[in-house]
Amino acid sequence: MSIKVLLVDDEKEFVELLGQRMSTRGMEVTATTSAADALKIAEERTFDVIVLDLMMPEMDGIEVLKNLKAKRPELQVILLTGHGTIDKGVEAMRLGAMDFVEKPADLDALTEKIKKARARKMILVERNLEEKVRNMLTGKRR
Amino acid sequence: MDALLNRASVEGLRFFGRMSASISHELKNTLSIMNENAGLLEDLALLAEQGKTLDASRVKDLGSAIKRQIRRTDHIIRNMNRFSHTVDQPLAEVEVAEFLEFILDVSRRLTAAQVVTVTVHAEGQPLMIVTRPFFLHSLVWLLLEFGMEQVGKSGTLILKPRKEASGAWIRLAGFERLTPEAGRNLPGKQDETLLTLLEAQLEMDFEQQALDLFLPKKIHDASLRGSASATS
Repeated sequence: MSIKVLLVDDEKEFVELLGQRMSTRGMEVTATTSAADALKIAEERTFDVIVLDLMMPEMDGIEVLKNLKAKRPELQVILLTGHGTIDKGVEAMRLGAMDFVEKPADLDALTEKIKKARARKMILVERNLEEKVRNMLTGKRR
Repeated sequence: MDALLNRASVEGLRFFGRMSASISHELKNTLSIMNENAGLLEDLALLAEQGKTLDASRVKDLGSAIKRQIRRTDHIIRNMNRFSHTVDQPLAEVEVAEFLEFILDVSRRLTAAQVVTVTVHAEGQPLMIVTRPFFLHSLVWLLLEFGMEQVGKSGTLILKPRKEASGAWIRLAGFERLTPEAGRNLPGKQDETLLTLLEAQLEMDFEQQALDLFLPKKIHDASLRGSASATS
């Protein structure tokens, strides 16, 4: 099954090109240039990984990350940063981002991180499922 | 004057850092687009090696896209070079409207981040003043920051230069709720330092919902006076 990725960056040309290249590598990519749209799309559909630009108009990547994690803690977010410094990236990791990649991104390295992110999401989903089943069983015993 | 210059220089260094960071971010973006275009060219070449027909028009389009990003990068670097040289020009003659356009161009990403549109409405005739370009840039940016905070997201600000016998006025218009309360911290300490160094004055027009900045035709203070050096 292909990896479902939501790609968010305010540079239209960048998301289109990167999205196209990720698609040729077998990923199912949805791309948007708007942070607000990204939140809406992430609420309506299921994604394995969200690749998110850190600095965008309307709402920066950190804000989007906080919103996403509050609604769906299992979501795996990889941040793209144009900054030479790692301060924001570290802050993002603290807030629950899985990883960050500095622009210009190496697609092979990004693909590896996306694969790891999907694997991590699957583990989290399985754990949640196990817990639900356990709770159901515990409830039955009562 | 030395104490004033020292204070302005410390704050100026912060301003320089902020602008430089924004410029570097823009450069990273153009590099990223070029990187993806080049990557797609590689992908197409790999597919061609595997027997897929190479679409010549696609390759041509990618080449054009890379050239477009090179032009964009060149423009950003030219702006960066000019901005850097404002620091080593103690005094320089500037055309006010053109200089305001330059300020907006350099800080486009920062104004876009606030989702505020800022435009310059020039009178048409050149409006030359001799001023301290770096400090003028810093002061206009502080006023824009104040303006952007006031108008909020999706707001619009207009910079209107106007000629006067003794200098130039720059009107920052587009406010909707400019009140004495809103403007109580204006000018702030940093604004006042810059106003003194630029021999300028700042007025608030609550009726017209605008800020007016007056700049003299020529700085009179002899300290820090230097010739307008050529940029390279």
